[in-house]
Amino acid sequence: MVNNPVPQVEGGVKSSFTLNSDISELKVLAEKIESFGSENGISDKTVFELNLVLDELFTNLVSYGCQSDKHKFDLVMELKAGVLTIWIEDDGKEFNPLDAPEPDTACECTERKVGGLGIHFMRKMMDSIEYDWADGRNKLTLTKKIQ
Amino acid sequence: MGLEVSEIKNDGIITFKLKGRLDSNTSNDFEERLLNLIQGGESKIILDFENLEYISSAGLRVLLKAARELKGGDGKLILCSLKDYIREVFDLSGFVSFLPIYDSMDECLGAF
Repeated sequence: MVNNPVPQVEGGVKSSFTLNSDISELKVLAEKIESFGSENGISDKTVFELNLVLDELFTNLVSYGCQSDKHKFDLVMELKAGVLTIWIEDDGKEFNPLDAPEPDTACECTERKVGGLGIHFMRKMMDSIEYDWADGRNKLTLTKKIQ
Repeated sequence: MGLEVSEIKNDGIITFKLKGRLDSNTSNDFEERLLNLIQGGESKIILDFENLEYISSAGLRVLLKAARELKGGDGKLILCSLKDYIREVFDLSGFVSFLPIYDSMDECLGAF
């Protein structure tokens, strides 16, 4: 389950790991992202944004996407030529986050809902998002330019 | 990597100092503590985020619930000393429209 970042021949750096569908695994996710960030000189702000986006996706899977308690969340991060690409696969229910409605963030009141904010953060913080449903798995590819 | 919370009451104002992460792992305990306090009659609350390293929508949900509980009364929930990247979450979510945010504790205390 634990793989340290391995330098790639093409000059990229990769880290891959798998989380069980248990909310306590959020700690592992945060540790993985933080160590990948510090080993590759990624800013605190960007590390925070990656942590937030992946936390929201993972928490969605654990909260709504599970048909049993035995799901896996497979994640690969690759930093190459200043672009971070993240591939995420899970075997939960089919869920395309790009179909989710935008939350009403302009509502100046406390009557608003929190649902949808995680996906809103992902849209704002990532440069590209691609979704595919194949082989009974959700497959999401995110990219972000790293300063 | 959890959340440490300390609580100080002074002149009727409660200040919670949060250290660590307010996420799906830690938000339930903090929600219970904050809502119990409000339901017990406390209405002037400052959340000091100087040492808060991380917040997700699970954390925002707690603040929304607390703000709803306080609505209609003369109480307030105020946020203090946010890191820039945490402030961004409040901007993107639109929560800045109903949660006052100040840079220093003096400004927060002056807001009541």
